[in-house]
Amino acid sequence: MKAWLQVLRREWMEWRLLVAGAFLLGWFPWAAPLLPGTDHLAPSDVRQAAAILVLVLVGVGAVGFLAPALLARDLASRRLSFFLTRPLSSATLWSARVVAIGSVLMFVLLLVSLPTLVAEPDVIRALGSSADQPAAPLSALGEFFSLRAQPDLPAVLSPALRIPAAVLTLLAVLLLVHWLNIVVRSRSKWLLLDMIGLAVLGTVLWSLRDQLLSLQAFGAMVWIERFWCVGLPAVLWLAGLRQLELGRIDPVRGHRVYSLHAWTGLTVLTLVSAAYVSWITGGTVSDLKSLSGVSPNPTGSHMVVGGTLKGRAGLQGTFIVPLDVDPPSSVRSAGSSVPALFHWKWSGDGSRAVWARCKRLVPTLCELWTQDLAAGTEPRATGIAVRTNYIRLAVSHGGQLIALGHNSGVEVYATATGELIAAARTPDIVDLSFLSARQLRLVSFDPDAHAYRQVIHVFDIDSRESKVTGRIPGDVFGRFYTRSPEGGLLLFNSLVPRRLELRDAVSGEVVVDLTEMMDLNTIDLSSDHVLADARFVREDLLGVVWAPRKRTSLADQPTQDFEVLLLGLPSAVRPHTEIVTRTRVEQARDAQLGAELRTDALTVLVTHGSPTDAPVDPLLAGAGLEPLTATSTYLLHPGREQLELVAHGYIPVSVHRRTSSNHSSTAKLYATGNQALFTIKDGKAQVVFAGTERDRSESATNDYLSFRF
Amino acid sequence: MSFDDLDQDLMGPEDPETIVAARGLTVRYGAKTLLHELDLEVREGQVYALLGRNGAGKSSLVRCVLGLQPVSGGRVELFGRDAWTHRHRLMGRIGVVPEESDVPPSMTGAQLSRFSSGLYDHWDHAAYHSRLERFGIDPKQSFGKLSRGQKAQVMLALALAASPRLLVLDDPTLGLDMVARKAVFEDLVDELATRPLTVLITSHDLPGIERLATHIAVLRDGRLAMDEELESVKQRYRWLDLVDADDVQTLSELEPVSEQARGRGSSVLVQRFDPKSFEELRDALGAHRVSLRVPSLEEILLLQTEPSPSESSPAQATATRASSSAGEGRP
Repeated sequence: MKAWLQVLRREWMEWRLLVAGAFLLGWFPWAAPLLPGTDHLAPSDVRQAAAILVLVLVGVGAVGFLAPALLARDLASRRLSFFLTRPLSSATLWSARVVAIGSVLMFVLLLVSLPTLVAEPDVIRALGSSADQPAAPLSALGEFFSLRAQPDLPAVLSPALRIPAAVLTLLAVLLLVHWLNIVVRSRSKWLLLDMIGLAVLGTVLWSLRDQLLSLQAFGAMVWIERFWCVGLPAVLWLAGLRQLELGRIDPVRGHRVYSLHAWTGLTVLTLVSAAYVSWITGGTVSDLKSLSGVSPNPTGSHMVVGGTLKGRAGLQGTFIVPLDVDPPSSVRSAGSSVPALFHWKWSGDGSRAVWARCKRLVPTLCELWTQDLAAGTEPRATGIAVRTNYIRLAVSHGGQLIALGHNSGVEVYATATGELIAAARTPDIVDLSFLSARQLRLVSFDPDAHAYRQVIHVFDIDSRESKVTGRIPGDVFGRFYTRSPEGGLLLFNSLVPRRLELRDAVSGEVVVDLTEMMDLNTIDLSSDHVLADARFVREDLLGVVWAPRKRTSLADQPTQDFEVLLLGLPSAVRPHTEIVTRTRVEQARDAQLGAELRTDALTVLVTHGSPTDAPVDPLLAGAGLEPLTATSTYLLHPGREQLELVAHGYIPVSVHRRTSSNHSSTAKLYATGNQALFTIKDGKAQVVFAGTERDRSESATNDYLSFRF
Repeated sequence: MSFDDLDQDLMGPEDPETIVAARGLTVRYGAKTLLHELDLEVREGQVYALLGRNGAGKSSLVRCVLGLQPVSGGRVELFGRDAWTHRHRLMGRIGVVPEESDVPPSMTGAQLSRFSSGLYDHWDHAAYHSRLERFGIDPKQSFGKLSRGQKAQVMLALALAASPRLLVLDDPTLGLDMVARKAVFEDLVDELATRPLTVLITSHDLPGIERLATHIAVLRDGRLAMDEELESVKQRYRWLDLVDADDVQTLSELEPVSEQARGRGSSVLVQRFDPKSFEELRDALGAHRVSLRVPSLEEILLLQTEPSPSESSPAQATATRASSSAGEGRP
């Protein structure tokens, strides 16, 4: 220990002037506003810019200057023998030098930024951290080096971990530059090994990154980053130690030893990472521990389910599950891993699924994938690239065509070949759907009109001509809401003035004005809550939830009474809109409608009570989302006046009626409890897949299993 | 564990008096073999001078002894332990003066002493500073600003202040002027006079070595061409100055190794000088035709370090006219 401290002290003495220089240089940003040419700029801005410039320059310079001092400079000047002819072990010399030079580097960075931080704490925010933490510069560096270098990765390191992360990252950078110095100074044939290692491992790691990004497995990426944050400096440190132990004063031998050990260690890290990624991406439908979405195809032969996978760093998996396989349990391994539910479409006949798989989100780089469910083929890439996050997707009835709407227009592709068939410049598309095999209906914002007026077009694929068929008057808050399952109606919701209307999907004319019917004009506009919500249950059945009046509970938690309605819409058998079912939810914090499509019952999510004290997921909090707390899921069936409790918690439910040739009537209930998926076939419930025993038993006690059509 | 304890631990059980031992030492650089299955022993109390031409492998051997370079074959032991494996423990009892000073140039003499005092159990702070004072070196002066001679003196002071049992000097006077060389060797002689110390030294400064060494070894063609006590060497070699004596076959018993033409006669260097044989020779040739002269160490070693006929150019070979038996193998 005494010898270790002696080396540490010697190295600090060696570099003390550098530390002092950094402290002096740190005051430069204060003088920067006095420089010529900065008169027209705010002094604070000049200081901040100068501070960042100085920090970056000094940081890069210090790393470049100090890293060779680990060994390379002594090797080049033949001075390493001085230390190796003293009673100093290689471990003592190497570890003391790494600690000394690493700490000098950190002090240099701290001191160079200290004067500015005192006056301009916002500088550190500019680097991506917050200044209200101890050792903010290190914290910012930790985040900058370890996380900001990867733009797709959200900043999720807790403040307590940022400083160790910064220290380890700086150490890794220092040791990498040391390696580079050894390579340059030895000029040996072992450079070939380095180049091969870099190419091979770089390719593997890049491929792993792509795999995780395509599944948006950010949690797993964070774990891999943490693993490398510790593993990389550890491997490089060990390689340096072996270099000193076995290479001693010979630069070429040192290079060989360092490279062999470093690449061996890095290969181990990469293999562990690859195994972890394989484990993460290898989840099947049976690994789902909770479901976030479920959507059957129109024929009920397949279903897409999305949810959180067990033990896979919070990965959201989405799977296509064939439902007609008998016995149903065999479905477990048949799920195909596909990305999240967003940008997902079934063809009208249910024979094909199309979805976007992204390699990169910032900036967006996605590709459309498809699976021919009728032919039972594996998912394949279509070759259709998607380079914007804002897209609207439509698939023709038979699945032969894919329409892609984005900010600047619409494009129609052949699914089989990925060939562009037709395109039109129609900016700001809000919605698109196939009217027929050769016609598309588009809804877009009107570029010629003020604000938010929307225009309905019919686009002919063969002639490539677009024809305006109708307009929907809009205002600042107006929005197109949803389209009916068969596409004949548009639900239009406007806050100012308060309107809820059903419009014809082609002409845009009002078919039914629900505003007066539901007395929506009485809604208190001062509230910032969305007080009405609507979903189509069927083409002729609309579910609506709204709060007729606002109430406040004694617990100082704003609660309201909500009304849930099923409205029968005009059809062949019903000449006028009428209320089919009406029920009340009293004193709830919120009531929303489930987003599941193709259901035969309305899903209602009701939140009672107050938020729990459960820890908030930082990812959700970062995105401005609150977890659903004290929420229960209910079903409202046509003709029943009572909400039927499905379960506590948010339970995606999809109910679909299907008639097959063999059975006069078969009903399927996709009641997706936290862990379980059930079908009811000929009145008998069968478990398609389930999670743990505990969850299965909990789900089994839910009385919705007794539900029958 | 102190170094005293280490002494017990490090000394091999076989021969406690052997401080340095090389057994079958081979050092290769790529395809070139520099040291070829070399055997060498430095025993306690010896001042072992390792001599040879530039590139003979002296420094490589020293690096192997100091555990700075792995051997290609064989084994090097210090105090009975493998020099490569036990380097850092062995260095506690070794003082080293390298061929080129390797001290960090920013360190002052005082800092070097402070640094070293934390590494050695028996660091003699007073001796170090008194030596610097004797050499007229300011302890506050950075090492990089010292003259070459002063650097060598500081290195020697550092090596001796560690109270070593073995002093390894790798051409310590290389590049020094006459005065500095003299100062270094005088200091060494003084030190050796005051305490027992084993020394392994390589040098080209033969007069200095002659004052210091007790044992001489000469490296040639990767092998030891000579490995002998200095006194024994001095007694074995003599110049015989011959006048009008054409037939030198009568000298064969004395093993002539070199012959130089001198006016009407010649000078023959013999390596097995024996007074009785010389008396017989003088009686045979006549006292006026033969006389005796003591060769210098340089003259002796020149023969040992000359390249073998296969390495040297024809001109060199003619000039030296070394006998075929000279310098081959151990005496």
